[in-house]
Amino acid sequence: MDIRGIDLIIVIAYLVAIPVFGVYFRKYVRTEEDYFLAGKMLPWWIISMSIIGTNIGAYDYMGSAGGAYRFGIAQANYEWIGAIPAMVLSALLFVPYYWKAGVYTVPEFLGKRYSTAVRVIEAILWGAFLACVLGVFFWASGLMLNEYLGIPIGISILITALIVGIYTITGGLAAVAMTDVVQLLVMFIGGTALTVLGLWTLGGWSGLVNVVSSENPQHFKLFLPLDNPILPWLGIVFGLAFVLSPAWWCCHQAIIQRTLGARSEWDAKAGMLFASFPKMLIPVLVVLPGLLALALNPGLAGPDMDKAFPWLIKNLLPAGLAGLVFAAFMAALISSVDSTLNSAATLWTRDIYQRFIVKKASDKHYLKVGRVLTLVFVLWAIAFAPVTKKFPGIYVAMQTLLSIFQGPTFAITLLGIYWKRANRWGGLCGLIGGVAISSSLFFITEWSFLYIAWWSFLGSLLITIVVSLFSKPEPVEKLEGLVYGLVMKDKGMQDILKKRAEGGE
Amino acid sequence: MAEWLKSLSLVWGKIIAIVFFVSMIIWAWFRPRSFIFHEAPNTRRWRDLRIWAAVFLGLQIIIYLIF
Repeated sequence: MDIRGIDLIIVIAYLVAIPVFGVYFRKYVRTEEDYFLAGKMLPWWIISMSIIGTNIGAYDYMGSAGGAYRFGIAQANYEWIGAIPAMVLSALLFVPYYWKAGVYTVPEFLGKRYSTAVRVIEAILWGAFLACVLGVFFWASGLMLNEYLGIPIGISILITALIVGIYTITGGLAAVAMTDVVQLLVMFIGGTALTVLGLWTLGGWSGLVNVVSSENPQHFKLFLPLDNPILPWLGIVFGLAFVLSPAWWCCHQAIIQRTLGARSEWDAKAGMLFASFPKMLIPVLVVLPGLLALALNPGLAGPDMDKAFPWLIKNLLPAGLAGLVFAAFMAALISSVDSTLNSAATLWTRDIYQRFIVKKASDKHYLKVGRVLTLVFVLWAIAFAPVTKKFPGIYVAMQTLLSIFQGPTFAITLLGIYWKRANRWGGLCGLIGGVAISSSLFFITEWSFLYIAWWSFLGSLLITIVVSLFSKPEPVEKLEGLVYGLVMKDKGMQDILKKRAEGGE
Repeated sequence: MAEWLKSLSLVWGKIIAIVFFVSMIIWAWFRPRSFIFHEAPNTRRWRDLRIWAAVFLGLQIIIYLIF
């Protein structure tokens, strides 16, 4: 890729400014809670922006633009029906219960609600997933810096590790969340510049629609026929909107952790809810560029369709803007890497180290362990990154792994919060049974993962209900504050909440 | 996949989506006021998260009606 002076200055300025800004927040870290939950002082608007910064990665730019090039606006279902309702559900049902439980991680909540066994299984699954994803992210950043700046991949990976590691290790969640805010702004400025310029080139929205629709009449339909291999409408509604999306927005550690760092329960709920607004606009940054590339260059075929976004940067943008859009691209990547790093360290510290290795130590000890584990994950990701080159399908494999346990995780979490009769045996059997169902369907059938998620969710739901009904209920005192019925229908608790809401106490 | 499923029109996707969004608005709207404002600094109207939910989901309904 051609590199121009002004672009280079913009990219380097961005790569230097982010760690400097992040390290500033080191001074606020004194305890374990400061490190993993930003001292519980995050306001709702920072939580919102950090959630979206974490959610949108460089793969979204590449994959979503490529998907839009192939299938059109239907790709935006992942940002709309596949996100917004789930975010409302998460904000108004799940987040307040995690908050009330005073936990640091989602597996910790499941451990309180069900049993240690459920907590450990969830922690291992999420911990392994996050650790592997880090390697893929590092490799992707190495490739990007290599492609754009011509730096050898190995050195590019080390630069990424240094940039992200320095502020994540020192500043914890506060540094991660604050840099996410800046990165989201960079993403929006860069992405909007690209889209506006593309639309201007084509004579506006109507020009884009005319050019694309003439050859691809389905490209402006949100729902595609059932014979579509990737985005069949039934899979989008039942698999994505009803299962995978709520599982992601209600149970994903890296997403939920920001809300647990909120300064109040209202900020936690509002943070998740308001994140819906930038989320709704994300298709402008990642889907529309795919359609613009199709209109300007309909010749991309096969795997090259995933290069729709880089093609636009290279061929559409003038000097200066290319650097800005590349910085946006890096911002998407770095904001996902730092969050994954922080969440992986939180999971391993709280759910593995603190639960099984050193149970009762000082706050300073766990703070130190959190920092050391973050460093370990940085080193792990550096070592693991080149492995992804040898196994190009590794990212797809990890996403498949995620879809295998997401449905069951959502099923037991939903029942755990909404149904007080769900008990430890139901939760454990529902989780294991659901994972068994999705794994079996994955190997036996050739169904889309959207359908597999739906059936594993239903199976897990059914197993949890049946096993719970045939085994002993949990004692009420164990469930207080964790289950919907025991807060929302408790007259005494409601009176307290009402008085607080009216400023009475 | 069952034949009757394959014969379902795309319009059904749109209908299910709209019903889903409307159901979510109704569900959110009936969250108790005390729950919505719990730990809020004040109870000004803009802090009512039920309104936020209705607006965001309402925008989704418009998008899915258009496309």
